[in-house]
Amino acid sequence: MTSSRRLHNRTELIPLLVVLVLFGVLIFRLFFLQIVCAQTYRRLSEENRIRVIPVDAPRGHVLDRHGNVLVCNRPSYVVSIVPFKLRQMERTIETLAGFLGMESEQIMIRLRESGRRRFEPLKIKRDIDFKTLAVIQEHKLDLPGVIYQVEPRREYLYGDLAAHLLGTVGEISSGELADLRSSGYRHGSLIGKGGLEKQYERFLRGEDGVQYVEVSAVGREIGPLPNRPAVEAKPGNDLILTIDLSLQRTAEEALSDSVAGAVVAMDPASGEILAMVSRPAFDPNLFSSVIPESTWRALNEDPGHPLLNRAIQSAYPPGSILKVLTAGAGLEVGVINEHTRFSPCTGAFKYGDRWFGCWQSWGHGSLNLEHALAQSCDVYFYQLGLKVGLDRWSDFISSCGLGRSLGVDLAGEVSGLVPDRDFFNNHYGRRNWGPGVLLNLAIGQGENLATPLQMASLMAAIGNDGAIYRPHLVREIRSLTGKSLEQKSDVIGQLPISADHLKTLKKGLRSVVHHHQGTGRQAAVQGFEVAGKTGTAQNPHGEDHAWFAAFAPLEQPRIAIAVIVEQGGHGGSVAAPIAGRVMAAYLRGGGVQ
Amino acid sequence: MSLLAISGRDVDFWMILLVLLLCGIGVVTIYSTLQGSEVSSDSRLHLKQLFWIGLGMAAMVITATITYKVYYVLAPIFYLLSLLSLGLLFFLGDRGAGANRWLHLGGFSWQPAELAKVATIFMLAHYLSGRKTTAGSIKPFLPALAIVALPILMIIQQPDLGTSLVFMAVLVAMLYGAGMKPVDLFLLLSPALSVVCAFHLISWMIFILVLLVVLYRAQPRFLTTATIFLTNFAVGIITPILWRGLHEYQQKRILVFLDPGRDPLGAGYQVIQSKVALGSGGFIGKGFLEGTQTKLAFLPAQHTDFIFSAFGEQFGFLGSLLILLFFLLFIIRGLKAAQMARNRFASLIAMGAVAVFCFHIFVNVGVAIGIMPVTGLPLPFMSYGGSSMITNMVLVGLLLNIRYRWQEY
Repeated sequence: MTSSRRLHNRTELIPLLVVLVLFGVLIFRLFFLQIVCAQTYRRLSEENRIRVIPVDAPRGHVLDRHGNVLVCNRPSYVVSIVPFKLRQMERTIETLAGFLGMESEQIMIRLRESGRRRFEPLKIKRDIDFKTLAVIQEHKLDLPGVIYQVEPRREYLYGDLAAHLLGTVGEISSGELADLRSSGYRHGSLIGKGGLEKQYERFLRGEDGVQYVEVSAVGREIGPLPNRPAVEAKPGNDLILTIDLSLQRTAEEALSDSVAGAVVAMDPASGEILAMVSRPAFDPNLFSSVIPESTWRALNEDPGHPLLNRAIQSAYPPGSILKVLTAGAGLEVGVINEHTRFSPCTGAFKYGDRWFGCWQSWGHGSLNLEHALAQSCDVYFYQLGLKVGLDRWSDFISSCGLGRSLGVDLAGEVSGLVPDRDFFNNHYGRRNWGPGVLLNLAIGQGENLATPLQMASLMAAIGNDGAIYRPHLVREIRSLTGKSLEQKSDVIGQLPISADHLKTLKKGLRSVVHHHQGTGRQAAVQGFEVAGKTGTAQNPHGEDHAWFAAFAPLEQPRIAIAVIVEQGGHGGSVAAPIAGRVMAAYLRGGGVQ
Repeated sequence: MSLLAISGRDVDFWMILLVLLLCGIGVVTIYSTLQGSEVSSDSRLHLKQLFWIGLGMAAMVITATITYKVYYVLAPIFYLLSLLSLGLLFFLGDRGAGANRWLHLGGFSWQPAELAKVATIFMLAHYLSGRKTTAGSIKPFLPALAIVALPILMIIQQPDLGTSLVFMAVLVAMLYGAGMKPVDLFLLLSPALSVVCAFHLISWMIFILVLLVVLYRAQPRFLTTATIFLTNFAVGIITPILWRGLHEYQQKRILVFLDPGRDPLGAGYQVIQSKVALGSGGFIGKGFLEGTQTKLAFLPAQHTDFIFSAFGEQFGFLGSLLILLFFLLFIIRGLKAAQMARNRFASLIAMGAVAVFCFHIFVNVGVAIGIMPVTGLPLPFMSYGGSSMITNMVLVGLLLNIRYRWQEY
């Protein structure tokens, strides 16, 4: 009995204590979970059951000045993964990669990049074809967490037509996203990467909508959440360009695929760009889906630099086109008038102990200003340049707007260069250059640099009584609700040339095309008076670049144009016919506003 | 002596009331887990559970009625039968889903491990009640260890880690009830601790050091000392080797327990969703049938292993606290029965039964709140399931039996 008594005392206390401690632990932990952390877990349970499905807003369309659609969207299928729903991750991803023709590693990288946003669908491959879609649909059960959605895909209806100015769209990069997340961008959002797509991104891009859907643990959608109505996607604004589709086509055809070069045509009275071509070109549709690494590298490393918009991003010596401004300088400074003749051209000009040749080695003889321009006599402009002097020449050319970007509504426009005394001092050292440089500058060679757009703009200004308009590509931004924002034409400058002197210069430019000895005869357009100037830019790396810049008709011009063909040789024989063809198409076609 | 001898005064109506309350809450919670559109289980499980409760009550009444002297006599036979049925699993078991727990005989299925729990308690009580408790020696307890080791080894093969551990809890409680000193208990269980510590070299070395200190202080005979020390040493070396022999899912469960974040979509998913369910319930809960985790099937095994979370989501901290309070009162009633019983066999059986309940409650709720590895143990009276319901009711019957026959020797 005593041993039994002892047993009872023992069974009483210690076990009870053990039980109380165990229950105490449970209650303490429950208190922590259900009271201290209740808010956190409440949020997590909401996140669990609510899937936020972003609805991509369609980007605005891009139309030409007559309303022809150039860029639009078409529906395409995109395969996405909802990371939270993935089961048997490695196997699922391997299966999916097989169907999509991708490496599992590529998908894993994307998953890792998406970070902690585990409830949002992550786009894996865009624009899959119907066959792939069917296969994925068939194996739905083996692919938990894999979904497909319809999204608008950017489509450039005319392929590489105007590719450089239209630009491209692509998936937002991690770097861009870091800056733009607050503006509503997400992983996989499309963003303008170049050209107008980039420049007008904030207008083209609409506002993405959101759907709230209640989902179950297996990822099935139960239905829309009550009390949380969907937010409709707002489509982006349409861009109405200044481009004239038919003229653009003509220009594209006129500038052969096989050359490098550019054509810019604009309306002299407004600065509206009517056509802009750069060669070689590329197809922006390639960028609309995820661009394969190999394609990207090929485009990027192509020695022809197809992604470069030569119309605004390349600067060349303007060659003889600049003679028109050297002439303007001479007239304005007062060292010549339209009748002035210098020593006759014998094919070369001796300055100091050096001979400077004329392009026509047998010489032009004695010429007045009009004929010097028409025949582009180098010896005439050597002498004129010397009379003007370096400082006055540089000042004058600069005040005509060269050496500065024009502010076109495209990113990447380069400024070109008007060399002056400071430039030579900085570049060569104070004692290492002489006044001889002026001879080359006066005929547009040497260190001078200008873009095709600047040359077209110069011609427009000469034809338009000296008014320089800001060149632009967008006429109007139109929202779906009908509100529109019109781009005004701004005058950004005035050539420092009097009306009389402009008339003199125009006469010379007319002779370039219309005089029987003119260098630009091949730019003639039957029935219209064309004023233009050939140029042949010396190229130390190979064949000369062929230039031609013009405006027409002579009075109240409707088109100004610049053409460059890299390493094309003589401007008169290579560039002038291209310009002639484009001007003819526009002038004969009526040049509808 | 017989049913007629029962006077109402001696029947523990409080215990019956608590059990019925918990069963009732269980049925209601099972019902709530079947209401979501995503639930794939049989939509009449709550009704089936009512049937199991009825069957369990019958088993309880029968168990409570028969005097425990009969159990004392039959204990060895029960024990052998249960070992036999566990052995049959090797040949007849249902080899579904990688686990081999069910035996189909004569048109119905049961889990031999459940039967083995009761039989092992009987056998241990049978053996221990016949021994003198002599302090300072652990030798008489080695056969007790063997009695438990046999079913454990057979169940761990199934494999069912959780249920095997229940037997360890039973052993500890009953050895303690039989008068073993805590120091001796520690020495007896030291190999198990050695296993746990063996995964970490430094912790294992600390453990061995503590063991040496305890051995030096307790000063058992040289042979005993050597045996204990060598056993611990061997176990500590063999464990890492055995670890590699474990099923991958078992390894994963243990690892994920240590760091649930390492696999939020796999095994850790269950624990995370369970915590989300409980935590989002807050103080008063989301309301009956309003649990989103439950309704949308984010909660795994919500009518069995995670029923506590399903309840906690709907009824919050207050509800969870109430359930734990019921369980605590129930356990205290059980301890009271063990304490009151004058018969040593009966008292030991009560200790064993209480240990089974305690272990199940603590581990099941511990899993739900994320402080225990996922072991798949049901919550007594509440989780859906026939085998466990009947076993639990039988154990309750034993406690009632012991309580109203407390005066018998």
